[in-house]
Amino acid sequence: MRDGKATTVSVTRRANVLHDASIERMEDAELLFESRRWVLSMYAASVAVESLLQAFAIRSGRPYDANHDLRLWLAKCPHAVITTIKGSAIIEWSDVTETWDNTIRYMSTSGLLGFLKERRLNRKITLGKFGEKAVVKVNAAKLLRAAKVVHGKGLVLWQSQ
Amino acid sequence: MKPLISKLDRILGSELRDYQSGLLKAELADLVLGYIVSSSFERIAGHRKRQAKLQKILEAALTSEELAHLGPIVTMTPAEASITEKAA
Repeated sequence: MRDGKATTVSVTRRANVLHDASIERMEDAELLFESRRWVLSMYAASVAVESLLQAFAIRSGRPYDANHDLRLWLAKCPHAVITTIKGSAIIEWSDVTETWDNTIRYMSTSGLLGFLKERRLNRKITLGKFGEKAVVKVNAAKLLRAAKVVHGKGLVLWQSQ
Repeated sequence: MKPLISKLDRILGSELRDYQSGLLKAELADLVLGYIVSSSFERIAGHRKRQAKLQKILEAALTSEELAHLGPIVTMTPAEASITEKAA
């Protein structure tokens, strides 16, 4: 574990490091949204949720793996986390999982627009001064709001257990 | 970091209604981070405005050295922080 690579891997798989990172990523998501960097805001908001779920899973003894499926990570979390998210935050959880994809980080705004259309997440959105970018903005706002709810309840649970 | 966390709780508890907190020392740095809950945030929509309120309180009460040890702090209303488990 003395070479740099091994140390980096071990740090990013520590539960408390992931917990702390989740708080920073949510802050990043907020700032990116306010700066109209909607693609990365969506990515950061989802990473905040993913990091916290990974932290819960690892703290409860589950091994790290490289998958980015939020549903699989939630399934590895303690019972209280699963029941809270699927109880008081079920709508927000659905919004996050409906929109999240780990490849968002590689997408341009137009690429993300195409992705959202493929998922039919462009319905019932009025195009205003932002034109088609309104689809990205509305989905980014929806994902950020939902991710904040899921993440916030997770933070409270993290310290209550 | 414990004295700083206690000081933060004392200051914020006197300035924010229904204050609760989950402030911690960061895992690998001398930074305080975590979350705070208050009904004072209920009428403040938007991340920037909530953070500005928090910043105003803290800048008036902490030394520059103490401020340098602050990391990100998530702000929530009691409703946003509430946990209701659903029977499995």
